[in-house]
Amino acid sequence: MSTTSHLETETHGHDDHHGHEHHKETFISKYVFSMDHKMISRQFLITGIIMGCIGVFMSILFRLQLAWPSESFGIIETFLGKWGKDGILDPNFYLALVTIHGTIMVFYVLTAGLSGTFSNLLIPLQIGARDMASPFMNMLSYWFFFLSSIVLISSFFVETGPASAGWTVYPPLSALEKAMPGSGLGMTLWLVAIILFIVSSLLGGINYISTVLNMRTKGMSMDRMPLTIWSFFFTAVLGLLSFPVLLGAGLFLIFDRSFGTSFYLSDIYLNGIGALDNVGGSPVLYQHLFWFLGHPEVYIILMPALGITSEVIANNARKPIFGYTAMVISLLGISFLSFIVWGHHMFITGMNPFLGTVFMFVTLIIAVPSAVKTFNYLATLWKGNIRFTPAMLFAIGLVSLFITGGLTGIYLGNAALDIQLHDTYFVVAHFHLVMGSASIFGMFAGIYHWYPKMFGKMMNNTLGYFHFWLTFISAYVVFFPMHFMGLAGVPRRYYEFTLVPEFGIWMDVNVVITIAAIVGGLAQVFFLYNFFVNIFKGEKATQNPWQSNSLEWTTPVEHIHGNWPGPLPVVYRGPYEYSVPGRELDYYPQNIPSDGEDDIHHTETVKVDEPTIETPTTEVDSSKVLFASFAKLFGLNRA
Amino acid sequence: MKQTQMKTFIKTGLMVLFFGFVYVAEPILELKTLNTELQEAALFGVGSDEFEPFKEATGAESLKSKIQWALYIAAGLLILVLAYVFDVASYAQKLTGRKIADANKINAWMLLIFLGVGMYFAAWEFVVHGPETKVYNSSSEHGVDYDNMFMITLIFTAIVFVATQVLLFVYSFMYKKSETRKATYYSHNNKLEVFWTIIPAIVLTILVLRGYAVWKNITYENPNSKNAQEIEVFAYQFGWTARYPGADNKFGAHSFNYISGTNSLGLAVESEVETFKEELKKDTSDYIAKINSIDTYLSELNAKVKDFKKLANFKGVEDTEKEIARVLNGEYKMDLELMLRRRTKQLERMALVEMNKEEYKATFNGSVHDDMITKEIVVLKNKPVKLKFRSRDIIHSAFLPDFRVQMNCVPGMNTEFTFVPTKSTDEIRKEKNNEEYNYYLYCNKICGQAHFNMKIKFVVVETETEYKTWIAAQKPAYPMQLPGSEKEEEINSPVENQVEESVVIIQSNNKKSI
Repeated sequence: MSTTSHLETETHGHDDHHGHEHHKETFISKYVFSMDHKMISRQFLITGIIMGCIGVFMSILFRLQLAWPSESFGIIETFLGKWGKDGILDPNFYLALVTIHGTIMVFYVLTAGLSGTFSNLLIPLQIGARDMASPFMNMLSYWFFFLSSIVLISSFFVETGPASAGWTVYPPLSALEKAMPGSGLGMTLWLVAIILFIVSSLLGGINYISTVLNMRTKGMSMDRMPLTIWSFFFTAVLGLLSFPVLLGAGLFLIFDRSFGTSFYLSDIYLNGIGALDNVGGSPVLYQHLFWFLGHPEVYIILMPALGITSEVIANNARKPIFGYTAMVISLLGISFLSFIVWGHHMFITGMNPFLGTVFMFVTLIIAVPSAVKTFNYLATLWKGNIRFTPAMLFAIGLVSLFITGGLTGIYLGNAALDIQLHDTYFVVAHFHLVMGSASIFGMFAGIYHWYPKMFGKMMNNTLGYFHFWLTFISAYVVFFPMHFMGLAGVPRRYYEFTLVPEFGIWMDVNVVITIAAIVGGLAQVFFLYNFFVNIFKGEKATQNPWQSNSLEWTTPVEHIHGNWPGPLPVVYRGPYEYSVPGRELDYYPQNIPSDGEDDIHHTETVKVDEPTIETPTTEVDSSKVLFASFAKLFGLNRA
Repeated sequence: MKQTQMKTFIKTGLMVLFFGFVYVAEPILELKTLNTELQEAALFGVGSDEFEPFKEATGAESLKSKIQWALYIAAGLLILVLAYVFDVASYAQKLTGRKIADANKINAWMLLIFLGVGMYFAAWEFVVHGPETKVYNSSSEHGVDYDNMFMITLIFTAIVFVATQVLLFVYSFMYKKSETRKATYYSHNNKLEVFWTIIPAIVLTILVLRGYAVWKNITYENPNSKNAQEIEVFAYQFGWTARYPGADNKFGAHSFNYISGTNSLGLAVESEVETFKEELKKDTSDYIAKINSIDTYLSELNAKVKDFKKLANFKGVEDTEKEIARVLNGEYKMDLELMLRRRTKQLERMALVEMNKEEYKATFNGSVHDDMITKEIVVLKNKPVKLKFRSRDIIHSAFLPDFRVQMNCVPGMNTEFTFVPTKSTDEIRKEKNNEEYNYYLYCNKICGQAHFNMKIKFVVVETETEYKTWIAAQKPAYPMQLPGSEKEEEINSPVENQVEESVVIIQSNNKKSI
């Protein structure tokens, strides 16, 4: 522990004149157009959090309408202006809110905010690299994401309102300007935003893959990689293979909207216009293309959360993760299967029903690797020595929500049962639990766990506990009753249920759900306060606050360019060697040689008298590295 | 030092919020009376058109809105106060160096309590809301299979749910941190892992095979598919229409090209189509005339602007100026040309059908004349019914929750669903003890503003006589008009035409996309 304090005093010296450490760097190059992966990850996180706040706030606005239909709320008029005249939400804008809520949460928070943040932060740190393979592309990736967020939000200030055809934007509804107001300029902006987003995620994904494949430090073989890295790796592969298909779908949609093609349109008569001249297209084609991305996207969202959970659970249970190999194989299995199950979103869309049978078979197979993961988590907890940090609580919450939401997937993956459940609240409950809440919980677990690494400060645990319990309880209260609504046949995306007397019995439930949603939303204030205030006022982090094994905790608390002041650490064992028998400490960092003594004095990293800042070799080699990674992928030899 | 800084920060926040609260609550406390508002209004000069004198502030609604605002701010205050308290508490803990409470233990207990309470409420949901769902309460034949399938899945998943959740929370509780114990080093066990890979695989195989059997019987191997009563269900923004084939049991052909004001389903009715063609031709020449007289239109608009200015009609001025801008930047002309192209193409497509003698005969074979168009769907109990879905504009989804029936209605594509209703409307009313209860077919695919109110009544009658009376009361929408030439054709057509299908769809007949 003496070295830790030594390091602390060392870095303290730099505290006040921080800017002098890298006198070449200006504010712009350090905080804005930064090419440092740690800064980029912070940028992703904070943008994601802001987008998340917007998304959650929207959901509360439309929940108000669902619980108290056509009642006046001042807050609605204040924020929505002409769409909330007299405090009553406009039916068209209700759909817009639903659409943008979905888009923001799925793409901007849970894809970019989660995978973008932690892939960027952890890939170089946990595999022992100075930076990403291509720091420049990494920076571009963030700025495309930022631009995309701005374009999406700007669609709120368009006269006809933002896109409102649901987050899946099925044509013809989204393709015909006259079909609904939101399909005008708002929809164009939505498409532009998504295309920018795809560019961002492809730039990031290529980078993650090449970094993981090529830039692991000495001794970090693939089977010694933390499960976080495995999950980010598979996520990036999924993104790289599926996002281009969405790009294609989006481009066709733009063509149909603006250039008069008929990819998705056929035999349409519109009120006020007459028969359109589009013939021969098929709306179902779009659904195939969309869900070819859409299903892998679900795992793009979920897998990083599962990876983070693996790390957090093993670390806090002080036990090796149970069945490391099985965990990797199940991630691989999920990744592969996710490409051939997209049809389960389309059982009753007019797709050939025989095809539905095929998709039902493969869909239910995917439950097997998911089940293996759950059982392995349980086995990891068994006979552990569990420390309930907020991160650990969120990880346990994730497993609980993953079970609850995952099991309802078995109903929806069954083509026969889907007839009744399709597009009802049952679906809403299912994906909000398994993909929405579970992934958000994974994200929170990651934030609480790696906050000391990201900002060099500690978060307040008490606030974290309050945040967890309120969020956990409200997540269940909001989404669990929705299963029953769905079973009663209550359709989703209905503006109000007062015109359908049959659904009257669910009005009380709606009120309870909305109140729980508001409580859950307000609980995030605990988090926001904890997060933003502690960046500046937080207690200083120690070198390895969670007594963790992985490499990221061997870097100095104060961020430096190139991550390690001395040479890169060398890896001697897997990342989950906790409570090894015969060892006094209950953890065994990856970078400590086996024959050495059981302390962390050995690491070169702590000798920081005058940190010699190496120019990261990666910048020079980035193109070579990139090429090499592809060569490796296709089995070519390095030239 | 940090602590004091933080305190000032929170205190400022509290103060700002408090003043916000007072500001908003002021009118509620009637510090500002109606009179002063009127006086203020007078100062700004009531009477001018643009000015609206504090209308909002006097209304009762506004008061309500202020109350709500006050509540929101109060909630914010509460949270900040809580944050403040806990922040101080944790600092106190750190300063005194004494743990106020063992957080680890508290959280472990909380997890256990959560499990108990959560399981209680989950069970409560099943008991209270379970009966409100439609499980084991279906009104169709395949609904029974469906419910059995559902129950099997429910039993399997409920066992897994309870077992895993209990293990998760109980393990978390049992193995909470203890200083005296060390975690067991146990990294894998291949036998165990193979075991819990194979068990889910077996269970899922059972579910898949059963699901396959049920799905197959509902869809592509439905035994009733051949002998079912066919009804066409037509979806549009925002409503439904049903069509019955009439005495000949054959639907007349249709095309989206023929949809007009008087022929909303686009049926191949010769007289309708002829008049519609004339309309289209007139439209076409209108558009051409408009395109040729853009200059005149522009000068008209300019004159209009002047008139509006004289009348001080600012709205009118604004609108007209917008229109002028549209004309000037060419948007107006482009729109006209687009419409012209649409109409011309439509006429071309109609001409194509006429040119092809075979197709024309098949289309206008007269079977449309006894088709009946209704605003509700009536079917007979225990008799198979095949709903054939068609959409006019965008994707809708026909959803009959009581019957476990759902199918999307896709423009340019034919979809269908065959089922046997087994409970009449009267029976379900008795069962629900609700004389008002009706079956409805809802729209379940987002389709725009009035999506939530897009439904059509679905009636199941008990006896054949009831059904026949109802059918007899319906009149054909486009009955044969003249007994002359058309009648001949009707007599001849079945002999001459070798059309076997009851419905001939002009565009893309068997387009079953994959």
